[in-house]
Amino acid sequence: MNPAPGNPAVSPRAPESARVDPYSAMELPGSHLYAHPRVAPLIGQSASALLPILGAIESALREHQADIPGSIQAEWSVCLLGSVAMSRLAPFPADVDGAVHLALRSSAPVPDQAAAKSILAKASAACLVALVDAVADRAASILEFVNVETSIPVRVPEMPGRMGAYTAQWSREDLVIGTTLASLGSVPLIEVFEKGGNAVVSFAADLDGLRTVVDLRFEPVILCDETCGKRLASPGVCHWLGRLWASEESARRAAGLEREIAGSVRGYEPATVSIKIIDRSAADSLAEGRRAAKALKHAVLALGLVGEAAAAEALSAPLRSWIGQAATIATRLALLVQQARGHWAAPDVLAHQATLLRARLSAVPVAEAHADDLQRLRIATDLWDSGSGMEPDDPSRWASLHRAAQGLADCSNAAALAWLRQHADAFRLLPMLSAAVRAAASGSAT
Amino acid sequence: MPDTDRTSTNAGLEGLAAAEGVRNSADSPRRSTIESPDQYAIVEVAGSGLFGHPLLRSLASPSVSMFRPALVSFEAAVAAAVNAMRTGPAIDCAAVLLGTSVLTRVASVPADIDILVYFSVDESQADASADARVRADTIARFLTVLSDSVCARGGENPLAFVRLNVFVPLTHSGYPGAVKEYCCSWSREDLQIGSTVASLGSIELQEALGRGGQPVLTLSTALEGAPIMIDVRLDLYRRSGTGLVPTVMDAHTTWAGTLATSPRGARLPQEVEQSMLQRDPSATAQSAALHRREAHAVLKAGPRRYPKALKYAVQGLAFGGHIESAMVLARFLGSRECVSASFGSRLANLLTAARRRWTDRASLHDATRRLAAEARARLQAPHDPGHASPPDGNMSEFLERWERDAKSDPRDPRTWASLGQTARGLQSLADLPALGFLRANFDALEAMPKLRLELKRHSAA
Repeated sequence: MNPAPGNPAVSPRAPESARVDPYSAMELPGSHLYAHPRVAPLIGQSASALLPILGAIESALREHQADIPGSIQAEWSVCLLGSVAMSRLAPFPADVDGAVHLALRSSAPVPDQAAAKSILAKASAACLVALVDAVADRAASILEFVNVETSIPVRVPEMPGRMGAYTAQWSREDLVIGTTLASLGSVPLIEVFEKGGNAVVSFAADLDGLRTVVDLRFEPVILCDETCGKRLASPGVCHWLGRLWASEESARRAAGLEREIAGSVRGYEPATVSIKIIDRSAADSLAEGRRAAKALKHAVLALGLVGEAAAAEALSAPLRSWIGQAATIATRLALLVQQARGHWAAPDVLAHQATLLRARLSAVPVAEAHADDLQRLRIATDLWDSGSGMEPDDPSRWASLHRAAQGLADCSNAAALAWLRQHADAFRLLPMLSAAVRAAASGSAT
Repeated sequence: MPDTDRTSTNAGLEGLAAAEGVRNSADSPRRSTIESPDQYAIVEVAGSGLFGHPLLRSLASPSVSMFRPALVSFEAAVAAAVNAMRTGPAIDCAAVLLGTSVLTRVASVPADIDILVYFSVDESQADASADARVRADTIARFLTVLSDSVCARGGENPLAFVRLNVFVPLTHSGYPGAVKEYCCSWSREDLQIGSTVASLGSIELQEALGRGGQPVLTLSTALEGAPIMIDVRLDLYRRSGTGLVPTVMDAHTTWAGTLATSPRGARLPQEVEQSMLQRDPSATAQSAALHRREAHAVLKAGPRRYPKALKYAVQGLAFGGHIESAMVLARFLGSRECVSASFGSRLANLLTAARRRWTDRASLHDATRRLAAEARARLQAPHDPGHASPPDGNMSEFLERWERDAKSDPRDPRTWASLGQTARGLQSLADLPALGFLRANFDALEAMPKLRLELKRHSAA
């Protein structure tokens, strides 16, 4: 395995957020995008390509008057997150991850926690439908609705390999009807939020001439009015650090919300919380298999958040090499196949996109790749080319492309994992990721 | 489609008299039983080209032949799939029509077409666990090949693949509400890949089948110009030294309600039933049919789905030999409310396909328009005042709304939501009348004491 060149020199240390206002934001020069000063060095000029997407969501929500039940007031804010916010280090994003924060405030007294949960669930469901309607109807020229996926935490003893989340897909028809048909029966939308579930809204958008998926996490947070005297359920905090905002107003709202929540939680320290979350995400990515490049992106982001921008850039070298590009193309191809499998987009549109993506793969410089990796890449591209010769509505085409995506992902995963093992010292402040890398290494050794 | 509603009950009674090998007890019509010299006799039902037990002559009219083309098309696809399975254990298949679509003498508009495939795999007894894996692999491969085969067939009676669902039993689901089944759904692309992304994560078809999952293939076809869904259930058996053994818990054991396209096609179902009855010496074909349908009827009456419960009661009583009681209850199936409920179910099936993107919305929307025209024609046709109530305001309102939505923009999700409300409305029209009818004819349910008890509980409530 030949990882990309570069040797990060990092001395891990504790977060130094005490010296930096954790709620400050700066405009990235000439981009009209806003981020925390620590994250800013990771974000390059190409991030401005994302501005139309964020702007379309923002303006759609601003124009839309959500139909919120009862005495609830809603306040939206929109951001990008994840590796897409680090365009300097990973210039070709696999997909666009974003989040819509929703601060729900009750101006009426709430008798107890059960009532609070019920209020939250109803308001969250109404706002989710309003969000989809607003974006799908008003930003249709930029964002095409794909689906909503909800997750409810569950434990199914009979299927031990599948514990964790009970997911359900929602079409727009399902959202209007208010229920979906999931594997364990019909699920009402309100029930998703009553049971502590969450939702991700997926749109398709063109980015650099290629269709990509924009996943918007729906993050409702409920707060009571001062007159109420009670704090309602707060399912999560905003995790403000590491995110990229489309407007100063959105950044200010989100920072204010996080500050408000943090003020009520003793010992809450934004950077520490953010890094813990990133550490877990990175470890999970590795545990899922074929996601070592994703884990590497998380590690780079964590380094950036503690102010180690140079080390982050050095560690990220594979993300700019064939390894990162192959991983990205594999993810994009897998998303196209997923849409074909679920019939969420027309087969000919998806087939055309796969052809464009294949051209992108041809342009990836692979001179640095090891001979074994080159051989694996050739097998994957052969599968891809063989599938591309079939009709768009031939299911065998998508089976072939599915295997091609897996082959590409496996190839880049092995190379990225080797890089992570070589530079384990660089991310010692991420204990979960470190353990996952050791486990993956011993797994591959056996 | 001929209007058989007006003559349904009388024709049914005439059919009863004509049934070969079937005799009623003259002194006690309510307790009538079959005393067939051969409970496994096979006859053709009224020149329909469909073959089954002589009892079916009392329930199926010649118009049952309208389902034959779809069954023949499907059988051809099955035969092609079996031929393509050159490697692996030997398999044997027989496809039969069943469910309420058989009841054409008493219910002229089916909600869907139900086909049952008896699927048996030859196995040794040497290594049961290895056989189970081979069986799951064989069935998975068969389902994939069958789906391709269905889609490859054109001709006069084309069938379209809609979805493959596999219902995996879960007795201790961690999901609140204690749901008993985990339904995993496969598109054709998923079948080619061999897995699907279900609610609890990715699952392979072999694994779902290996966990005792029951496959149900949904196809669609046109029936006299209007679209209709075909639900194909596979009952899975293994053939070993001791005969045919079911491999899923919910295997059907009653062939009495099934119709095949040839006497030969009816033999595997018969063999299955004989094999099952040998394992339970106290059971007879009739008692098995009666009790099974009664159990289904009780299950449907629980959540107050009375029309469905009534249909199961009719089938159970008829196949259990209580023909006159069955015909008394069958009067309701010819009512205008029942016809509207069937159209509601057909519309609901189209809506499900639209919500899940199983078929493109434009063609589904066109299908709703054709179905609305069919529903209008059938519901406006004169009904026998003896067993049908005149159309009321609600029914007309639903029809008008349906026709309006069928002209609306199919890209607008509100169009489909409105069609869904129409479907539910039409389906609910028969709910209360069915309960009233069951109460008024309580005596006819004498052979189904558990159902009577359930209904009494509802009355008390």
